[in-house]
Amino acid sequence: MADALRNLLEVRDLHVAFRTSRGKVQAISGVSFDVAPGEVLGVVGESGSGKTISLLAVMGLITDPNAEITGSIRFRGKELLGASNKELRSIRGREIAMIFQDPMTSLTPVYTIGWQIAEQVRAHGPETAKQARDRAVELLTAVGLPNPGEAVDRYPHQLSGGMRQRAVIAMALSCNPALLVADEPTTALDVTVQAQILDLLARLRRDFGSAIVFITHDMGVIAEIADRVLVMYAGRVVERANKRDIFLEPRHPYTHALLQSIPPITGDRPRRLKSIAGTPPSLFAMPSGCAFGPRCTSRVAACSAVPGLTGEPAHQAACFVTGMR
Amino acid sequence: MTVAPLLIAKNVSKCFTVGSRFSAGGVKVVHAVDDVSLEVRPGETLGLVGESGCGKSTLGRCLTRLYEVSGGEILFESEDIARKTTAQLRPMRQRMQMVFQDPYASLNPRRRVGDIIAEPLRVHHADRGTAKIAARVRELIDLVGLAPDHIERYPHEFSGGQRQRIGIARALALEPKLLVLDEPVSALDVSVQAQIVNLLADLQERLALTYIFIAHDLSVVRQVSNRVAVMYLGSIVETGDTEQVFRAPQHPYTQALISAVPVADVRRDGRTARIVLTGDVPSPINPPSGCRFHTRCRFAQDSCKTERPLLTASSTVRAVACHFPLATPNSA
Repeated sequence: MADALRNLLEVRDLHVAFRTSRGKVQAISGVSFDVAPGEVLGVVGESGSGKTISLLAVMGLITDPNAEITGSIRFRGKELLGASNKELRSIRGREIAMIFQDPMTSLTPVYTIGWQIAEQVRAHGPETAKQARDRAVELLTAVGLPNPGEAVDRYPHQLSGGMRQRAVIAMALSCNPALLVADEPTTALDVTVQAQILDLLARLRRDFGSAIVFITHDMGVIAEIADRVLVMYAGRVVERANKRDIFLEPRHPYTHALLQSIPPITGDRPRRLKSIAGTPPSLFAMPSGCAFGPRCTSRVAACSAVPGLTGEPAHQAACFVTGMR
Repeated sequence: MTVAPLLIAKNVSKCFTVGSRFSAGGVKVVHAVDDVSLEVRPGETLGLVGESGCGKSTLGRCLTRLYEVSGGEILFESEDIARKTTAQLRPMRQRMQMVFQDPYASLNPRRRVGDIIAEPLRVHHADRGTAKIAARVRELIDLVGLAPDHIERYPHEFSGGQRQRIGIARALALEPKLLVLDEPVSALDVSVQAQIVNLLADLQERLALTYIFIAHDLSVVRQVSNRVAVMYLGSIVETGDTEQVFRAPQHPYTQALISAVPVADVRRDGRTARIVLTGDVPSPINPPSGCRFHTRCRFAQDSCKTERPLLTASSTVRAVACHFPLATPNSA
């Protein structure tokens, strides 16, 4: 597991807490995962499950002075937690790039997209302004933006949502990153545009060999793009396995229920959807024991303690009832 | 078949103007809804699907007359509501209500849940008296699966799913016949989404409601609708029985839209059937000539660029706006 040469990224026992006026809030509790070169790791969970926060911690982007981050985050064997801003800057953007849900959060409205991509290129390389601009056109071509020579001089507001997301992906790819962190990159897009972006990411992974961590709440997208899957609930990893096992033999009741609650697009329509009772817990009022306990139909007495991940390394689940199978 | 439709829209259009005569290019007209005709029968759910900007929400707001329509007729229980004044519409509003997408924006944060739900009752049944209204609020709270102690709380104390229940309770307060649901579950988490979908199904059965369900999520629309209408750039391109439309789409756009939905099933290879549309939805300010979809259509021919296909019935329940509709396996 802990083979430093095999894994690009190794996260061990990551905890993130925030001190707030209402007391300390534990956003992430003991999250561990690896990303191998060239693989796509899907991270699924509902809002508030901690999927974004754990990846922001990896990127060193939690700057809140009230945050407490402990654990270990190793990228190519190098510890990132506690690294200086200067060290992080040389890795971020160059070796690890990030794409956010709303492309407008990563684009400034006052410069053309060509300028913004060129800035990123020049920040990490020796290119001249002219070369950087040519590289921007090249990247916009690679992500399939129609008419790249003209689009390079457009401002973000002149592009559609799908085109903006392509521009952001072009920016993220400018330094051929070894790891691409994509946080809900298609959630704000229409399905036909989402299909284009998913195809693009699959192609880029083939052509550039980048590993991708893909955060989403959509099981359909996971089925489409991921190799391995982490399921998160209330700040913990509740199940991890390869994609096939997650979909065909889910072990955690939450994963199982999540899959059941999706209305099917083909086949017979169920008369009623199987829903999960209740709502995900608030970080301020976390249930003691298994966080999914109050909503779980398989709950037993043992669930009043917090379950750890059990099972063979390739398929683990954090459940006293079904995890051991 | 003998039952008269609850709502009939005939050639409804809605234009917005953008810009001013001083801005570059002058005043432009956006044809948000362009010549749409549809019928909604009592007790059924009509799903309106399409991508963002296709005009589905605008159409929903036209049908409930939250927007003035630019052209066409809307018959609600055989009365034309398209030309009624606000005062004339007021009594009719009780019979058609709307539920909105964003449960965070559609509830006044400074009012208690009980007041939010009681508001339509106070407006329309001022004569009923406080006690009766309070009793009705308790009844509604119970109906949507909330607890009586929620009445005294404020919206910020609730999760997204619970807020959507409050929005539904408010819409049901006046015992409407028709509910227009504009993306009612798209802001919710999957596990909560299923709860609301089930709640809407239960309410429809118990209260004999008719729904117009507007959503971009095709699998949700398939789950809830009896019939669907697929919109593209302001017009309906295909309409028919939900099962039929999803199993054998006749319009190339419907086919591409359905194939683009990622399927949460690893056994089938979703990629093989995927039809990836190139390009973006054209601007409704300057829509393409002829068939509006021809710029992205795999089967487009010369006639598609000049002649606009009309929505023509291909069977008694099915209509498609395409010069070259796709053949269906069982009824070609």
